[in-house]
Amino acid sequence: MHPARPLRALALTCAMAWASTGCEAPPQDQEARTATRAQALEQAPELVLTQRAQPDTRITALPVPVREGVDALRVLTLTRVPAGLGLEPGARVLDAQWVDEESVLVLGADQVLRHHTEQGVRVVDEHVLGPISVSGEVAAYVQGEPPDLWLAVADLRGEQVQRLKDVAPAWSPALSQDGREVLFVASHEGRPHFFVRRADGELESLPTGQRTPSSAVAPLWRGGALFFEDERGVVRWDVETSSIEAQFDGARLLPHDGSQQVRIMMNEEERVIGTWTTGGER
Amino acid sequence: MRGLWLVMACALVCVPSLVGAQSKHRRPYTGGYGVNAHFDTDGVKGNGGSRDHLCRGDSYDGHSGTDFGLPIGSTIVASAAGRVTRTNNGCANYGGLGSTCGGYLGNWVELSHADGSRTVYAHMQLGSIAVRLNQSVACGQTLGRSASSGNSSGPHLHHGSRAGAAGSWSHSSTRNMYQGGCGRSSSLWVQQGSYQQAPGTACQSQDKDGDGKNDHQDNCPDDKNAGQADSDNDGVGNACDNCSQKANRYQKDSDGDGKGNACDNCPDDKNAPQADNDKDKVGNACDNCKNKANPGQKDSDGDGVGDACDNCKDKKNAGQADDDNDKVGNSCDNCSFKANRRQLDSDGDGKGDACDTDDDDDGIPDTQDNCRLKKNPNQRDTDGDGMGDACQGDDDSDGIPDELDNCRKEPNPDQLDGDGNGKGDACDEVGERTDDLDEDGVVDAADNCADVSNPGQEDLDGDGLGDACDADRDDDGEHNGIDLCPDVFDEEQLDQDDDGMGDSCDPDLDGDGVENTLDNCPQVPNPDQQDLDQSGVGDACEEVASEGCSTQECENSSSEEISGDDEPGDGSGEEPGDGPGEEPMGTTTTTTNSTGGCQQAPGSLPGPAMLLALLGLGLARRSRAERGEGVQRAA
Repeated sequence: MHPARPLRALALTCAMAWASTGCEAPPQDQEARTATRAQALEQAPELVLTQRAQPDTRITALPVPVREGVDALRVLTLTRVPAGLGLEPGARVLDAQWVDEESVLVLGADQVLRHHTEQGVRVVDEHVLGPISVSGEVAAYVQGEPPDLWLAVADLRGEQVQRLKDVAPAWSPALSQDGREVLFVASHEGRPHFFVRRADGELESLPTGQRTPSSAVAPLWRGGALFFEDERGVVRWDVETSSIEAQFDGARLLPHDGSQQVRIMMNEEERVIGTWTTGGER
Repeated sequence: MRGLWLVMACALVCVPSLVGAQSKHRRPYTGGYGVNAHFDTDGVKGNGGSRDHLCRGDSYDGHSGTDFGLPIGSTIVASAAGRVTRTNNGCANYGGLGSTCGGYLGNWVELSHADGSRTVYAHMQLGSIAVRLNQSVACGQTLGRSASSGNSSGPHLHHGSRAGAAGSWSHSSTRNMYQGGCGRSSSLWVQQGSYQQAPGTACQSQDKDGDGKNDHQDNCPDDKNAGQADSDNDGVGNACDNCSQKANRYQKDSDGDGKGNACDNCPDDKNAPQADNDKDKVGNACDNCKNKANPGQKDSDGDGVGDACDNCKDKKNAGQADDDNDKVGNSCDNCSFKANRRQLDSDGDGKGDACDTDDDDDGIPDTQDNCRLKKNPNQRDTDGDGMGDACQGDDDSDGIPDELDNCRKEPNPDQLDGDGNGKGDACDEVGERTDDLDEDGVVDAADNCADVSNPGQEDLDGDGLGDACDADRDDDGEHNGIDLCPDVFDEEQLDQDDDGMGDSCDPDLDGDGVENTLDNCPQVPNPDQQDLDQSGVGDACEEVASEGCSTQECENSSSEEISGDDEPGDGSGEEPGDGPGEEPMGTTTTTTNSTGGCQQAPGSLPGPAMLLALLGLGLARRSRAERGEGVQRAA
C-alpha cells in the first residue's frame, strides 16, 4: 500500500546501526537527523512507559504501527503491567505515569484518563492528550481536540480539575516538585512560548528561546531546572534565568522513576543529567 | 398557505446565490497527490476502528480531517477564500509520532470562511507560512509549504474543517467533507474526485453581490445588477462602470476620483463633481482658464495660465499681478502703475504714453508740447493757434486725419466705436463706455457676467447674475459643482440610482438603461422590460407592489406565523447548531391588503429581509421533510 515503507525501514535500520557497522554514513544536517530520529522513535521496540526505582514496577509497551504520512495518535499496546491495579497486557494506551508506589495514572487510547489503584479504577477526565505530568497527587495534561488543547490540572485526591481554556493551544505541561505550579508551552502570537501558572493562579510568560518541549515523554521540572526533550534531543533549561544550561543532541529522556535524578539515553548509554534534594535544591 | 409555498419555491429558484452560501472547497495544495487517510466517520473515538465516507477503512480511529500525502516542500493553498484567524510556526519539520508541538499539529494555519466555517492546514514547514493574522486570502492563494511537523508519521497535509466559527476544534465540531454512504449527502468539495484521489482544483463560484450572477460571469461582481446592462459594451456593467457611456474595459482612473479616464474631464486631477464652468470639456480642476472656454488649453508662455485668461500671454507671470488693474499684467505692462489698457506708446520707447512725460520724445515735456504725440522739437506754430504745425490736420496725431477721426482729441488709431454712436470709444463719456472685457459682444455695463464670455446672457434663476458667473445657477442652495441637478431647482437632491445625476434631472431614474418616458417601470431597474401580463406595467413594478411575492401568491397568502428553529445549513451531516441557520429565524407575518397587493404587518421584516427569511424557511422545511420531521406552525 505504501511503497515508501521498505525504504524507510532500511533507513531506520541504517540509522540505528550506523555507529557500529559500515552502513551508509548518517545525514549531517540537523533536519535530516531529526527526521531519522523521528522515524526511529516511531518504530522503536518495546519501551518503558513508566517505572519506579523498585523492582517489577516497569510498565512497558509496544507502539502500534502507523502508516506513513498521517497524524494518528501514538498508541501503545501494554506488554508488561504490575499486578493488582486493573491493568491488562494488550490494552491500548497513550501514556501512563506512576502516581505513587500504589497507583498509576493511565491515559487510554480512548483519551480517557483513569486512576488505577488497588481499590479500583476511577475516571479522572476525558478528551485528554499526553504526556501526563505527575507530582505528588497532582496531574497536569492537555485536553481538547488539536489544535485547541488547553491545560488541565487535576487533584487526584479531591477529584477537582482546573482548566485553563484561555491559553490554547497548550502542550507539554510539567508540574513543579510540590505540584503547585505548572510550566507549559503555548502558541503565543503564533509561536511556541513558555508559560508558568503560579501557585496563586497567576499566569506568567517566560522568555523563550528556540527550543521548547515537544516529545511524547513528559518534561520534568525539578531543582529549578526543566528537563525536556524535543526533536533534536534533551535540554536542561534553567527556569529562573530562562536559559539553556545544557543540551544533549540525539539523546532521549528516560521516564522519571520517582527518584531524585534525571536520566537520559545517549549513544546507547544511560546518563544522569540532573539531581536534586528533597527540598528541591540542585 | 399555498401562496407561501410558492414564495418559498420562487425564493429557491430566483435567488440561487443564497442557496449556495455554504463554502465549498478546492484541493488545498498543488500537485495531484492523493489521500493517505480520510475522516473517521464512525463517530466513536477510541474504539480502535474507523470508517471513511464510503464505509471503507481508509481512515484511522478518531481522525478529524483528511491527510493528503504530500512530499515535503509542496505548496499548500487556501481551499476557499477566507481570512487568517490563527497560525503557529516554530516546530521542527519532522516532529514524529507523539510530538506535541503546536498542539500536535506542528506549524499550521487556520482560516475562517464566508459561511462561518473554518479550515486548518497542519504539519507545515517551519518558516514557510506565507500569510499573516487577519489577512484575507483568495481561494488557491499560497499559505505555505508542507512538511511533517508536530505529531506526524511523515510528510503530509492534514486538512481539517469545522462548521461553526464559535467555540473551538473538537471531534464533534469537526466534519467530514466527502459525500458518500457513510459521509455527507452533498460534498463540501467543489469537485470531490474519485476515491483516495485528489479533489479538483476549481474554486467555488461566488456571487458576492447576490444578484444571481456568479462572480466570474457577473459584469459587476460587487454591485447588484441582475440585468447586467452595459451601455458601452465594454464588458463592465453600467452599475460599476466608471465611464458607462464610453468603452473602457480596463477602467483606468489615474486620479482615483471614480471617473474613468475615458470620461474624466480632468483625468489626472481628482474632481469627482467634474465641474466645468466654461463648458470647454476641461474640468475646473485642471483648466488653465476655467471661466473662459479654451478647449485647446493654449499657454504660450507656459506659466500655467491659459492664453485665454493670461494678462501677459508671452511672458511668464503665473501670479498674474496687475497693479493698475488695466488687464495688462505688470510683467508686460508698459505702464504698470497707471491703467492703460491700450498700451499706447507713441514714441516706441517702451514706456507707455500714460507714464511717459514726453510721449513723442521730442524733448518737449507733454505739458508744454504743442503737438504731444508728434515729434516737433521746434514747436513751430505758423498760424499761432497754439497747436503745432506738426499736428495740423491730425490733432491727436494718431494717424487718422481729423476729418475722419471719430475721436480727434484722443489718440485711437483703432477707431473702435462699440456702441455705434459715431463717437469713438476713446471719446465716449462714462455712460457711453462700451468696454467689453470678456469680448462677448455685450458691453461691460450691460453684461450680466462681464468677466466670462456669455453672449447669450443666460440667467436661469433670474437673479441678474449670468449663469456663466453664477455659482448656484438654479438658486436651490447647492453649489453647481456638487448640485446633482445644477440646472434644475432641487433642494432635496435625491438620486435613486446613485448615478450622480439627481432624480429631478435624471432621464433614467432607476438606471436600468431605459429612459423614464419609455420605461414600463421607471423606478425599479428592469432592463429587460419584462411585462408578462402585457399590462403596460413592468413585472418588476408589480412585484414591488406586492412586496416580494407575485400577484398570484399574494392573493393566496394568508396570515401565517412560523416559529423559528435552529436548522443545519446544508441539511445533513452536520452537528446541531452549526451552519448559517444557527441564528433563530425572525417571525414574519404577511397580510393581504385591500387592493390585492401584499403589505407587511407592523413589526414584520422588510421585503428583502422577508425574502431571506422565507428562503431560510424553505430550506428548513425541505431538510425537515427529508428527515421526515414535522414543521411547527401557528395560524
